[in-house]
Amino acid sequence: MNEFISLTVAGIATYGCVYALTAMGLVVTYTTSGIFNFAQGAIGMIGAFFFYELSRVWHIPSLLSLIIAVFIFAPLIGALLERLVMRRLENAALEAKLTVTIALLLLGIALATAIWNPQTVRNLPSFFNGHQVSVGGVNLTYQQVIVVLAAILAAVLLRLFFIYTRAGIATRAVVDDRDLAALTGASPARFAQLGWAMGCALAALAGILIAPQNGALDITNLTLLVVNGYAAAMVGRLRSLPLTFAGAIVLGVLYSYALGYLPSTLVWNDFANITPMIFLLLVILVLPQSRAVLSRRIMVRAPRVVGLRESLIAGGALILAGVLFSRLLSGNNLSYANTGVSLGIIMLSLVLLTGYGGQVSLCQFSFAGLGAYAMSKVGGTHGSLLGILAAMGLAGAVGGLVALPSLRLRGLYLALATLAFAQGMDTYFFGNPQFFGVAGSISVARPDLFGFQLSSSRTLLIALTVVFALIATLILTFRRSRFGRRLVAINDSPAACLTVGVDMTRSKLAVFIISAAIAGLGGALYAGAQTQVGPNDFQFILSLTLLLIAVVWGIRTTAGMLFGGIVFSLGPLLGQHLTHPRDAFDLLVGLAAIGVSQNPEGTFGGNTLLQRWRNSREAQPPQAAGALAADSGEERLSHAAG
Amino acid sequence: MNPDSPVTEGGVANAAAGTTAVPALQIEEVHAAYDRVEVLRGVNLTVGAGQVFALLGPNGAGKSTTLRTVGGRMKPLKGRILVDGKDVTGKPPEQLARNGICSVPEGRGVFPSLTVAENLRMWTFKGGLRRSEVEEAAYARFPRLAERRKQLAGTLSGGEQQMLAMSRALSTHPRLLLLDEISMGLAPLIVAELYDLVGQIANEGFAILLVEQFAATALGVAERAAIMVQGKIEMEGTPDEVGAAAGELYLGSGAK
Ligand SMILES: Nc1ncnc2c1ncn2[C@@H]1O[C@H](COP(=O)(O)OP(=O)(O)OP(=O)(O)O)[C@@H](O)[C@H]1O
Ligand SMILES: [Mg+2]
Repeated sequence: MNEFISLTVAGIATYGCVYALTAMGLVVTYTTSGIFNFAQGAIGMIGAFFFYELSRVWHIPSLLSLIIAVFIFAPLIGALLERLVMRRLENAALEAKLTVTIALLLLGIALATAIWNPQTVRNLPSFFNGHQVSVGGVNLTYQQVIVVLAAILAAVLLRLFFIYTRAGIATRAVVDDRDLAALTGASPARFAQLGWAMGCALAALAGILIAPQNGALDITNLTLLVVNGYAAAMVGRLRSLPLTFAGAIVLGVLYSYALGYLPSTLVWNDFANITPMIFLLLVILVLPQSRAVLSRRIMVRAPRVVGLRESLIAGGALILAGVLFSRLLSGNNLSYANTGVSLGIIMLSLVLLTGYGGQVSLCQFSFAGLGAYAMSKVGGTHGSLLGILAAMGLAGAVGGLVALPSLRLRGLYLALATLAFAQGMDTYFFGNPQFFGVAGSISVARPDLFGFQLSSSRTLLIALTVVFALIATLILTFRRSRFGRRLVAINDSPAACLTVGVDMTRSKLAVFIISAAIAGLGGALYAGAQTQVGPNDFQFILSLTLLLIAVVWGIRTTAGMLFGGIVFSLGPLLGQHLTHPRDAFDLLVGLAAIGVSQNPEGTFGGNTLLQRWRNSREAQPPQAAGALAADSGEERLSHAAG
Repeated sequence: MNPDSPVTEGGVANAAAGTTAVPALQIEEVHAAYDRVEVLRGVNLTVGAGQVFALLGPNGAGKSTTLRTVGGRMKPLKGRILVDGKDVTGKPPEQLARNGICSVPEGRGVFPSLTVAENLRMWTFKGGLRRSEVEEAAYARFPRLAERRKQLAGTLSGGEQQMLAMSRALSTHPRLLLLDEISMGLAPLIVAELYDLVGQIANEGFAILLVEQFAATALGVAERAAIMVQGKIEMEGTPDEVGAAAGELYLGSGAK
């Protein structure tokens, strides 16, 4: 009984209230700007480190440090982020929005690692040195009391702000109807900026309050602790602050029970640690979907549809290049090329799923890992064709299982569900000695296609380019088919499709399965290119990076995926020339993503020089509008309906 | 810009519409497009100071788009927009709103999840006006709103929502009022009531550009009118002339 009470108290005071702070921050930024801030965790972490710097290194009194960190430093970061990055994303597709904040997360971690050397041990003492008070027979540390008070105070102040102040009312008005708010003279951008400032302040406060309770400051741990708050924000459907608060408390208490009651064997321990993710998954799947936020996105331009001739020529050119480079390259460079093209194949799965279908998956590497696993088990030492089929089959089947419960989810919710799935896979599949061996690695044979042994890296490169060209051509052909047009139509306007009777569920399921199968195939080839793979090759964070690179290079283009894959594979190359390779890579990725905010269609999509040149060649008088509209919504819908 | 000027100017111009006073709104050769589909194809239109101008036309002619462009929600591809002689082309909507260009957009002029009182409070943004003044003025004009001040605007009836939207129009002393189909979906009696109000505002000297399907009602309060067809002004004239031509130009829709 006593344990129960103390676990409950810890759940509320140590975790629940901190989750509440960060989750309320998420809600405020999301409602005002429409952007789900994945970097919330990183901002909390940086806030904690900054606070450490002020109070322990510069010896500024704790309270003053707190005020500086929470009320000046963090809001400034938030406002700056909004101004420089988020403002340009207003009409961007979901994957671009997600990508940018994912990149900020990586960037935040990289910056923190560069500034605060992880080797140094930094301890933040609890407030009031861990003194305790007894409330109704339960002992509370002052720290816990402060956390609870801070959370309640923040919740009350937020509520008062939104109900009684003019700025608060205007903020809600902006959420309600952005255009109309502008017509009344309230600048939506200014309120989004305010939202970001408040969200970051709350994140920093959460980071500072949770930091002393987990030993020495650790960049990754702190980031993830704050990330756990995501699930609470889902309870509030990213809209309601009171529900979010309640969800945070429930989550905190559950987490505390899981830590306290589950047996401390490895498996259960892991389970306790992913409770927040499981909670997230359940919340997303069980709670009713919020009022249909049907894509606010305005179709900026109908993406150019590549014709068959063009894709065949490009495919042929790619294979030629493959033949050429297989002669030119050798040693490491050859294996970078092989890894790059196979990563490109994994990325092609995103073109279909996300680029055309608008469904954002954050678990493509989990599917790739499944493919690699199947290839290793079934493909044997020679890499039979059966292994390839098994890779596609397993990944496709699991993809179907993931998709089934998630189909009714839209956009962000689907992305978060796949994220939770990926984390589960990390813990229970890739990290499991049963599957990936005690040594933590499996060997995967290179495929043997119709008697062609691909064990030589040179022939492998040629084969990979052939596979890439084939899949890319298939994807582009699919895009031109009726089904493809239907898919894009669904992406453009789910509501319109419902009214013309397009069966969304079946189409979405099919796309998810095909995409997972492509990722599985890519994973098998990727593993074959490396010959040995371990659990670290399929971590969920890599799925985030994959999406990021895909968006940077243009997720609606197949050419972009080839270049993206090669850039991805060159990442380790940095390690040979730099002392902090990971940081440098993350930094690059971060900067590239800020580039995304300038050009959400990516390098190969949209506003490229090539595209502008094409446009100017095609330039038609606008009166010929009918012809241009042929590929926009209505026309596509009529195809889809027919 | 001096926020007080339109009232006095309006008074003068009302007496002598069409004299050399600076027009409230000039739209010069404006082109605008959604995506690459051109919707406005060289619109020219002048609303005199203190004038009530009715813009009619068939569905899809580009009337709402014209108002959107003037209100700053869309940027024209080509052409200029002048308000009180000052070029405001391409200015953001919030800035235009603060400078007295007041829009009541098509269909929905209220924030559904804000209460009536909060909705009115949003419209005190222009600066200067006190919250209590705006509320009092609105409730004096529409006692029904006073009863419902704590109700969410989204749960008001269509007519009440439109009253709420119009209250703002009345209380912010705009220099130019843009009204888009305020009669849409409303019972004739309510429409008549709303148009009484438009007449009152007109008498207070504001310039109004109003878009309507009900030609008769709109022409009743207008001093000048035009018909837009396929992104161009097809004809312009006095309400009587336009009323007579409306039937031919867009086959009968609303021209009684
Ligand atoms: N957001 C939009 N995106 C693309 N096209 C649009 C958009 N809004 C309007 N259009 C198109 O622009 C044209 C003009 O529309 P607009 O709303 O200005 O017409 P309107 O004259 O107000 O018609 P109505 O009397 O039906 O309100 C129409 O063909 C319409 O389909
Ligand atoms: Mg209209």
